[in-house]
Amino acid sequence: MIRNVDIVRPRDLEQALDMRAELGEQGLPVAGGTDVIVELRGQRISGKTLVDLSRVEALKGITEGDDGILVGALTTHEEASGSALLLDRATALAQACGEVGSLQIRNRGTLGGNVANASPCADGLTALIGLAGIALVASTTGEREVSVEDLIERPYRTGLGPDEIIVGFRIPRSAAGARSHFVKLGRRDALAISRINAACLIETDGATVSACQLAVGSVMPRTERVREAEAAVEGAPASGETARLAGEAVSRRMIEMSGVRWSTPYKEPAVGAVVKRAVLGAMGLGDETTGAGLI
Amino acid sequence: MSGKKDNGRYAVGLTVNGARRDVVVQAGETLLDLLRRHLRLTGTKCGCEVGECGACTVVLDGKAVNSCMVLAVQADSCNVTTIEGLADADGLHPLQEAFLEVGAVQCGFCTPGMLMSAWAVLQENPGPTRAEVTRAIAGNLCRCTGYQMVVDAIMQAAKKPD
Repeated sequence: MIRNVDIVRPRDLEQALDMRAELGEQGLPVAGGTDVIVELRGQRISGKTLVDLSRVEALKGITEGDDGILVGALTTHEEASGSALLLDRATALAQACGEVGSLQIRNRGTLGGNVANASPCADGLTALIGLAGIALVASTTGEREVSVEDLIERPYRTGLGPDEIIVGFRIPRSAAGARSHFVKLGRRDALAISRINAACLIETDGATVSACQLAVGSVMPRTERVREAEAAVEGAPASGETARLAGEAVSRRMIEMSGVRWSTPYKEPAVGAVVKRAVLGAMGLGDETTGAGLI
Repeated sequence: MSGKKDNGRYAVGLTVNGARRDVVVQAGETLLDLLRRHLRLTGTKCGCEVGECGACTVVLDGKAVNSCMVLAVQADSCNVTTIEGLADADGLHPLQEAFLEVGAVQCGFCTPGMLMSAWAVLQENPGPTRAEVTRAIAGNLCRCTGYQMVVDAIMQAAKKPD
């Protein structure tokens, strides 16, 4: 029993947006509840009116359009991890969603919630940013598109307005032959929050990498693309050595951002190895494991 | 259809173990509260209440979920199966028999949740591999058995006709 909370249950998106606009800061969207209910129970959030989005059909489904794949905000992690379309065209996202929590949590937790919660350790978030995903955001005054990377401002804080709802995500169409891969390192296989995660998308031209997108989570204040590492990979041969250099570039960036900490002697090589595996996987050279607990 | 009543109370209608139930809940009550407090179905256990232990696992519209993390009002119009729904007039469910035969129950606190996760995976996949079973119960903590007997029992039950 959670005290000091109320709930409204919109039937469709229009009603949801109206309720969100009316409630403003008082309102808190909830979908699967796997983050929100824990926060409410710990009384870190209180006095809110939950806007239950779970009946809003317009937020469901995974479809392919002209400009990419559309993933509804209510897509559960389990649905995403089993989606043939995502496994084929946005592999890193399906892999990341399959690594979240336990089956019970994957059956309830949604991708929209994963992004809106903005945990620096969120697996789905890393994959969406690595795939250059765009968040589709709506309010009563209209819709806007914002890159998922730019939507996250700091840990547990997004740039969503108090009247806005994430409708879904668009994953831009990538070149034929592009491949993506996600790797997570947790303290154990199941129910482990990521210590380090990475998602990489690579396009190759023969034996050379023509484009690279690389996002790393859990090791910096917010999940982001690491441009220095991407630059080190682009134009280089698709090889283990290139992947190793990408890992080193990310380790350097981590230390630059977070300084040398007690955990650095562990994290520096571990980050390098996780990134190397993600890059190798996206090159089609690595083993197929997503790597939890392997290092 | 859930409707708001006075004083922040909501009418929820759902199917539990095949029977239609109508319950009036508060906004902050979970499906676990609905089952244990309102319907007195105390087979579903309350463990950590933060989604870590799986003791409260029930099957909601065919999917294993932590009932402590589902708001009761969100279960409106849904179909819920709890541990009380496994056995029938003919006796225990083959999964329950297998748990007893193999010795997969020690203190028993995790067992209802473990059985519901097992039941859910067998509903979707009647012939799972050992790895698939292990993955399906990864969200159910057991401090007694070391899991081997639990997996053995589920594999044994999977071989039997339901």
